[in-house]
Amino acid sequence: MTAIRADGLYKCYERRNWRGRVVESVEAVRGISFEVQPGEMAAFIGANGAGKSTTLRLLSGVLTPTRGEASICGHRSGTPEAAMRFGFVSGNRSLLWSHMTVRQSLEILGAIYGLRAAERRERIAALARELDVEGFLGRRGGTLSLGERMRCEMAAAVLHRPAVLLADEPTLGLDIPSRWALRELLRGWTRASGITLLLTSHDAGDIESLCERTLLIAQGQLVFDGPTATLESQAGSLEESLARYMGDRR
Amino acid sequence: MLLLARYEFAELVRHPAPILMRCLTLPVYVVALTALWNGLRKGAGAGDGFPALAYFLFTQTILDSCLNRFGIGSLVLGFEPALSRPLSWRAQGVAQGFGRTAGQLLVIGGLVQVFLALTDAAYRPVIAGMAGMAGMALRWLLVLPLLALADALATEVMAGLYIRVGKSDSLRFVVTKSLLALGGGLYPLLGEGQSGIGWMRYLPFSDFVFQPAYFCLYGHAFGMETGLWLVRVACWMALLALAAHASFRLAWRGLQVAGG
Repeated sequence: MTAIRADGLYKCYERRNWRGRVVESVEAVRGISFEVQPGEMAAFIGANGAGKSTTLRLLSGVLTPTRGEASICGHRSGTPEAAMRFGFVSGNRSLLWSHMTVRQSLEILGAIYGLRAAERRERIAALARELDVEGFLGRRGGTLSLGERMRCEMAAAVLHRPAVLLADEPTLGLDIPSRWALRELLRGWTRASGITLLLTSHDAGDIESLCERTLLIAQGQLVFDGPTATLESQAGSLEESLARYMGDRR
Repeated sequence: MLLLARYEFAELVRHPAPILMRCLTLPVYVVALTALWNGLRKGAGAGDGFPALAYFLFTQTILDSCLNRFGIGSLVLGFEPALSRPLSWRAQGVAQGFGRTAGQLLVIGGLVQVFLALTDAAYRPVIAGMAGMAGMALRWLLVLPLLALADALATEVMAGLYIRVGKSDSLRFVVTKSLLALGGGLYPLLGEGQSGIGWMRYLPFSDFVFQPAYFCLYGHAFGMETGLWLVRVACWMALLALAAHASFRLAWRGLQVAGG
């Protein structure tokens, strides 16, 4: 079964005046179709405003498509069945409650995803060891540094053993050592767990080190879907190749 | 959901410092208000007997716990993450709001009991001795879940509106000031024969501010059977739940149309 499927996804945002008439409409995503197979690690990249985050929000069920369909592990996005099968980690939005300890946040999230108390405790302990966040469990979410928080966010995203991990710019704003550490963590952990990864990032290093496949989006349309190595070979480096693609399509 | 409510509640009870900081001026404010009230009452030639200090402490505690800015902000921030989870934002919001408000009412309510015990002369006409104090504390614990649930629903309404229109502070101001003006403060005048403000009794504000405070002091509702007051509270809660649902739909539609 396909892990992630986007079938003719189309999303149009509208701005209306006080009479309810549409005064402006923006086509954020224009008929995107792709599939990601179980265990695959794919990058989903594009310039600012290209439609990456909108696509991820459509896949996660936060947004409903104007046309087309998105599904996770065969379940339509936005349904509880689909929600149980993916985890979402974002550099922009926190899954943790800032005024509670990390352990409390993880306990609550575990309960939301239907884990029993004993299972929650066991899973939190195991993840804390694997992701090296044992020292942060007793601290409040709001007191963690960005690097520390992102490791805890990872634990929160995969607590319920999802088959798919959607990662929206997880290294955003991190300093070089923290970015490197998180990248290593993601690489090691995703490979060991066999989870499917769909990653958006503006950092070519994230893509090179994590993803064998790259999907490139520009102006709401998919303009490249293939091995990351192909993109790298098209110019001197992946970064240069991406800059060319994105620059051409602006 | 229960776990979320429990942790929110426990957080406030275990770490009450932020609430206590906010309440530092409460005794001064309430004592001043009581003095003003007693002065007005003497001027109007009304009789003694109303425990103004206790009444103002209870109403101020309720007003202070209502529509907390942090609570609204927390729900707004949690809106998008909640949409991608198997449990609805509304359920998470009610649990979070209920836990937080219940914790706050318990902490401040406890302090009110201590404060009243230290200044018993001011409320002795109604609550005499330790038995009276214990009864009042018990009645506070009885109304606490009702107040916490109402506030959780109202917080959801505000958070939904905030997500839809980008701000809700003006509306929050109107609601909290309406609660202050129409739900408490002036209300003891009813007991003094000033029938000109009798219509206030039919507003939801009085059911959620004046009546709970009055119930804590006397053990029954003012001007109606306690059962009838509870039925009215249940009706207002049902309306609040409908408003919270409508507010959520508005926020959700806004996100789908404009992208947030």
